[in-house]
Order: sequence, then C-alpha cells, then structure tokens
Amino acid sequence: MNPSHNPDPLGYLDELRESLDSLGRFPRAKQLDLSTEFQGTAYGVVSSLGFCRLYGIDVPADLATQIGQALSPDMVVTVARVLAGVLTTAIDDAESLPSRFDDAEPIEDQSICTDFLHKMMEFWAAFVVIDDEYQSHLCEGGPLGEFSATMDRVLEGFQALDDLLQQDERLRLLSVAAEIPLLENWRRMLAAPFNESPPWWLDGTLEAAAQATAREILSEDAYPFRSGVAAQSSTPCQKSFPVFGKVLAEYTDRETYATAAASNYNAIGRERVALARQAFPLEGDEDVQVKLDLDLLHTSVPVAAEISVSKSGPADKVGQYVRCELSIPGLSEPLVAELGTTAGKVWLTETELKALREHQGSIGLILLTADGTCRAVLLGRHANERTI
Amino acid sequence: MAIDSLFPYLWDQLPDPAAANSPNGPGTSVELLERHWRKIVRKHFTRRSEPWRDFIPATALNALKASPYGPFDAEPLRQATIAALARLGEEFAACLKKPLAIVYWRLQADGKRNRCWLLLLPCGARAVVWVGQKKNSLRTCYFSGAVGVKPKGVRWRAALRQLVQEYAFHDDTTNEFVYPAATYRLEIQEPPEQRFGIRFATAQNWGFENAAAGSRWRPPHWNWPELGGPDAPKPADSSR
Repeated sequence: MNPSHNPDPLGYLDELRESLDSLGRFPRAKQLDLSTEFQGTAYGVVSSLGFCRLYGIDVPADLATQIGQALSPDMVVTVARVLAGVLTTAIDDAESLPSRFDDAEPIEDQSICTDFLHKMMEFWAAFVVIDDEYQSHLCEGGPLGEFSATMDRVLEGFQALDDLLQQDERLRLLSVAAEIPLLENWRRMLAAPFNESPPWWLDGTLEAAAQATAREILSEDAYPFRSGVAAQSSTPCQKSFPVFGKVLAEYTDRETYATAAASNYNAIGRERVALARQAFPLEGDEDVQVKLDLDLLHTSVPVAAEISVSKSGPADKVGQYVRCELSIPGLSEPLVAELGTTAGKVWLTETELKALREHQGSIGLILLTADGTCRAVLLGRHANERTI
Repeated sequence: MAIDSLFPYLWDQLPDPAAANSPNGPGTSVELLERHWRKIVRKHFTRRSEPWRDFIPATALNALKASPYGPFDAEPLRQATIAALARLGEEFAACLKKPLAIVYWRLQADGKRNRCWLLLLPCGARAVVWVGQKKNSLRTCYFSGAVGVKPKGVRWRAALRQLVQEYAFHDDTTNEFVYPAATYRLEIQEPPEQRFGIRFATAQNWGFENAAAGSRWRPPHWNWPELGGPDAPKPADSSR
C-alpha cells in the first residue's frame, strides 16, 4: 500500500469507536427498553461501520471484537427497524422536496438537496451492514421471523424512496449536487465491490439531469426567438439594431440589485426590436417588484411597444397565476395585465409610450406571485409597422 | 406607550471571518430582518428533524412554534424572540470568534456580486450571511437533516464533515481531502450564479494544515466549550 495513503479520510473509525463507547454506557435495563436514544446510538454504530465498508477502511481488531459483541441479531433487527423508520420519514421529506426547495433561501436550497444525498449515503451504509448480518443469519439457519419482516419493510422503503427521487422534477433538483465536488468525491472514495455498481445517485444519473437542465436554460436564453413572440414575426432578421435600453432590476425592500446593461440582443424580426431584456430570479414567497429603467429618449425607433413577461421554474410554481401591474409615471392608472400561468404581454399604446418618454422611461413592474425565473422583454416597433 | 421594534435585529462587534487576520481583524455586525426571522421560525423551528430544542429555551421555542408568523414585537412572542435571538447570538459570536466559516463570492447573471459567509455554528446548524457594502444580513439558519438526527455533541463534527465533502476535493492518490485551489469556481445553474474565492476560514480550524491549495485535511480534534443550553439565564432586551 502507498505509505502516504490515508486509510480513513473522513474519520469514521474515530466515530465508530465513540459510538461503540456510547452504546456500552447504556445500562442494560435501558437497552431492553429500546429507548429512542439507545436506538439512535445503535444506528450510529451500524452506519459508521457501513461507511468503513463502503470506503474500504480496515477496522482494527479491537474494534472488530467490540462490534462482534454489540451486533447481536436482536440488535441488528432493532437497527433495521430504525432504518425502516428513517426511510419512511425520508419518503415524506422527498414528497415535499420541491416545495421546500422553492421556499428556501439561496444556498439553503442547494443544502436541502445535498442533505438528501448525504442521507442516502448513510442509509446505504447502514443497509450494507444490516444486509450482511441478515445473510449471515440466514446461512446459520437462524429464524426468519421479525428479522425477515423488518428487512422486507426496509427494502420496500428503499424502493419507494428511490422511485420518488428518480422522478424527473426531483432528479433535477438533486442534480445541483453535480455542480459541487460532492458526487465525484464519493465516487473516488468508494471501494470494491461498491464502486463497481454504484447506486443511481453515483452512476451518472444526476450529472445527466444537470446537463439536461443546463441545455434547457441555454435554450431559454434564446428567448424570445423560440417563443410565441418569435412565432408572430416574419422572417428572422440577422441584423442587429442598436440596443438603447437598460434594465435595472430592483428587488423589494432593501435589496437593490445593480444595473445591468441589456446585451446586444435585439434582432427579433425584420421590424421588431428588443429594447431591453432582463432575466431575474424570483425567490421566496414574496411578491417581487422590478423596476425597468428604460432610456428611450435617444431614439425615435419605437412607436409602440409591448412588455413581454415569461416565467419558468419548478412546475408547481410556474403553474401559479401571474398578474402584472405596470405603472408609468404621468399616467394616473397603472396598467394591469393578467399574464396567465407562465407568460403574457402588456401592450403599450402610443400615449403610454409618449408618457414613458416624457418621464425618462421609468416603468415599475410588479409581479404578483413569485418563485421561478422571470424574463421581461420590452419590444419596440418601427414606424412602418403600427401594430405588434 | 409605543414599543421599539426588535427588527432589524442587530448583533454587533463580531469578528469578520473574511478578514485576513480573523478573528483579530476589524469588527463587523450582522442584522436580521423580520421577514428572514419569520422564515427561520416558520420553516426551521417548526421542523421536527431540526433539534432547536437542545439550545433554545423550551418556553421561547414553544411560543415561537405556536405562532410562527408573529407578530414578534408583541408579547408573548417578544420575550420568546429576544431569548431565542440571544442564544443564536451566542452561537454566532462563538463561531465568528473561532472562526468556522466558508467565505466566498457569488456572481449572479445580472452582474451583481456579493460576498457570502456560510457559518458552521457550535450547535451544528448552518447559517448563511450575505455581506453588503453597508450591512451584513443573516438570511437563514438551519440544521441539515442528516446532522439534526445525530447526538447533540457530535452534530457540529458531522456538519463539518459534510461541508468538507461538498467544498473540498478528494485526492485519490493519497485518499485524503485537500484544500481547493484559489482559482476554483462553482457554476450553479438555476438560478445561474458562480461562486468563487472559496476559502475555509480559518483553514486550521476546519482541519486543513494550511490554506494552500492541496493542503491536506484531517478531522479536527478540538471541541467547543459548552455554550449556554436551553436553560441558560434569560438575557435582557438589548437588541438595539
């Protein structure tokens, strides 16, 4: 073996030793009571031992002796029962994963997903030990009884959890783990035979889901070329019109985001131009107010305009109805547009555009119902095309 | 008589974990807006798998769980909020005085960038602070589910190990985790952002030999001194 090779990169042997010591400190009577605390400690012993096996960490002889004494068939059944219970809880958590993800703050949302994968690794580690003990029990001709019934519950729990987490929406959420070193780190640590047929979260499935999401985002970035707006236009024109809009996305309350100049991204059709375009994430459960600060004073190109808003994100959020209120200084009433579930347009008349010009082109756009990613585009029209 | 609002709640005179000589650099402060507090209470205090009961006084925690939407300035929630925030403040202070944080920059698609602290508190919870030009804002505080179920005394070590696996790299030639390179960037897709300038502050507290790229990691052997538990003395109303 390479002398610089670290036999225990994450310190599982220390954890195993501590768990065994804790287990030994429980009075015999309390062990028989099967208190929650005792069961939790026993589960800790088994999962630490499982990680040692997954990562090929050699267990010293003294610890192996202690483990042999601790892991009676009754104890293993107890731990299997704990595992069946935590799998049931995990299934409930998996059900609510999308809504919890949407409701989470940035960074926390990623943690919710990686946390799930940490748990999956722990469940796997515990199962490796329980299953080994079960197979030994069978080989020795031990009674099936409760051990067998509990193993059935564990396997059913794994099946239900795997089925749920591998649904497209959840898979895509969990795929955020592919953006950090976590999955590759685990793969590198896995020892034979576990690295030969890894579970779904380590076999490339999450990376594929991440790539699919990336492709979708890239294609969304082509908006509005691929959307209904583009479909209305005539032959696409490759000529770029000068961009004279700039967009300031300003979030509610005290969070002000910096000004972002619109990119040179405006050739929608022969006569149609995108004056400004901005995508902004909508986070949390609050309404979002976006200020579009448009510099329309230095051009005579648009004579009419529309604000086109589209929304994307997790399916259960995108489906929520979006209402848009557009206020233009100088106009007494805000324009209200019902944007439907994912996208819609607010049409600006010449009067409204005139008011926009006269008031330095400032538009307040309030989107009611947040969550997801919203894209706002202001489209202009040349004088010879009066309608959009 | 009008009562001053508790929010924005301010913890001041805290060490800046991103400072080169942290924790001995210039002091800073962290504020908490009411809406973020409401989220913490609503989403995390009420969640069974998050063991807040182990360090927030039971009376305060139960009151907050019973009325997670507030109003937090009115009794009985005001005293409960003060007690809970005082305990959280102890956790922040201990964490930042060590410090035990991952600091990095976030660059968003609109060009905005801000610094972020991901704090690992002695209780094992993670806290996210967004660093502003004028103010630092606590955005959330939560237990990872896989950590929350561990025994109280080992939670922070379990959380630390999770974070090392998420932000450091496994070197399979030596089978150990190593400190990331300074040029390392994380590309997050949705919403799109880049994270860069990722630093473990301080490297030694996390278990790295030093902050050089490739520096090896070992599980740290130090431990937190016992902080005030759920029955620690009730603090005075000195939030502002």
